[in-house]
Amino acid sequence: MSWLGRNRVALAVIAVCVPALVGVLFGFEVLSRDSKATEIVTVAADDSVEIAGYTWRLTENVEIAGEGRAVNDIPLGTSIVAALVEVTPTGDSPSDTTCDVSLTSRSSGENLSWRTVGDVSVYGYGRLADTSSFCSLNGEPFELELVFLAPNGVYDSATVEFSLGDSDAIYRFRLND
Amino acid sequence: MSVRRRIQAALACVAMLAVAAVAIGTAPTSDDLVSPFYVSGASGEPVQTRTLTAEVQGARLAQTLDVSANESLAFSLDLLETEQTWVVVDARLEARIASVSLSNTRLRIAGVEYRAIDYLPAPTLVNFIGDPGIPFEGSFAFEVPTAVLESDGAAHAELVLRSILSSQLDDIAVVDIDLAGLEVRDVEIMRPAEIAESRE
Repeated sequence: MSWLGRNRVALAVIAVCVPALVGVLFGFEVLSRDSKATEIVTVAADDSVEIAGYTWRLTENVEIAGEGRAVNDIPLGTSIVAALVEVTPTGDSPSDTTCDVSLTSRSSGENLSWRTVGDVSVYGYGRLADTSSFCSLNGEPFELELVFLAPNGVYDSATVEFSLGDSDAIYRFRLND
Repeated sequence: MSVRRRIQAALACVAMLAVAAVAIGTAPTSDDLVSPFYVSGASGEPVQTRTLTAEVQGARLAQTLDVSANESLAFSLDLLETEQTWVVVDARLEARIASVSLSNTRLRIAGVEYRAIDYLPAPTLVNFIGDPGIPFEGSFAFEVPTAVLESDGAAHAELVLRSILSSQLDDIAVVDIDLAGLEVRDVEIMRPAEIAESRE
């Protein structure tokens, strides 16, 4: 009997087991990555979007260029970017969710992000009355006032980015179209 | 199976066991697999990592730290003395991708790491958070035994710029600093951390 004939059973076992082992080791990982893929939704400057039972609309935004601390409290080379976002419940909206917010730009080829400024008075910025700086959804309508400090030029290509709770989706509001 | 074939099979098994032993003996540990990548550079020149550009502008030694330039209602002292020696490291830092906090920064001398002190009145580089494209400057302060600064290791000190976040499989900037022979002054001023204005 030839070598192949004598070892046919062993070869058949290898032919089945090796691909099965590779599948078990890497297949689940690949599948779970696909299922966790982040959905990115881009919203035009004058548009609104429904997220988690609320309607979100970016109503206003502005760039205040830094003229130096001695002039307008904003360092040279930087700008204050401020945005107002109207958040309105659509009906039976959940009331125990918070969201993460950042200013982002991809014009350099990388996904750069800036966090909101905590103490805006440092940069001579005064918040509007009746706006919120904290993104907390409590079932009531509110206006979110977001303030960022970013390098000059970022505003032209910037988006305000939201992600809610455990959701894998990211919502990007364009400041300029 | 002939005796020769059996000997060949046995030798093949021994060879495979030897290869397996070498592979296991030289394989990286689980810590090695996720260890950070250290990016080294010299004081006075920019050191660039994936997330940060850092430039050490100088180092100073003192018996007393003057922190009066920093503002804090909760901190009433203007001068901080030590029975050892303060090492003040001035630096310019710039985040590259997202916000960066370097609150876990260490000064490494002869294999021993000294943590940057975090109880001085804010803002210092330890509690400052920088955003991409916005350079900021200030000081780190370390309290180091005087004998260590008089040892040979002082000439090869390293500033290890660590974030409080895990640096597994990410870059960490390490800047060489020569602390040997620096004069220990009575008082050195701690620079408050602030955004460095561009010169445009």
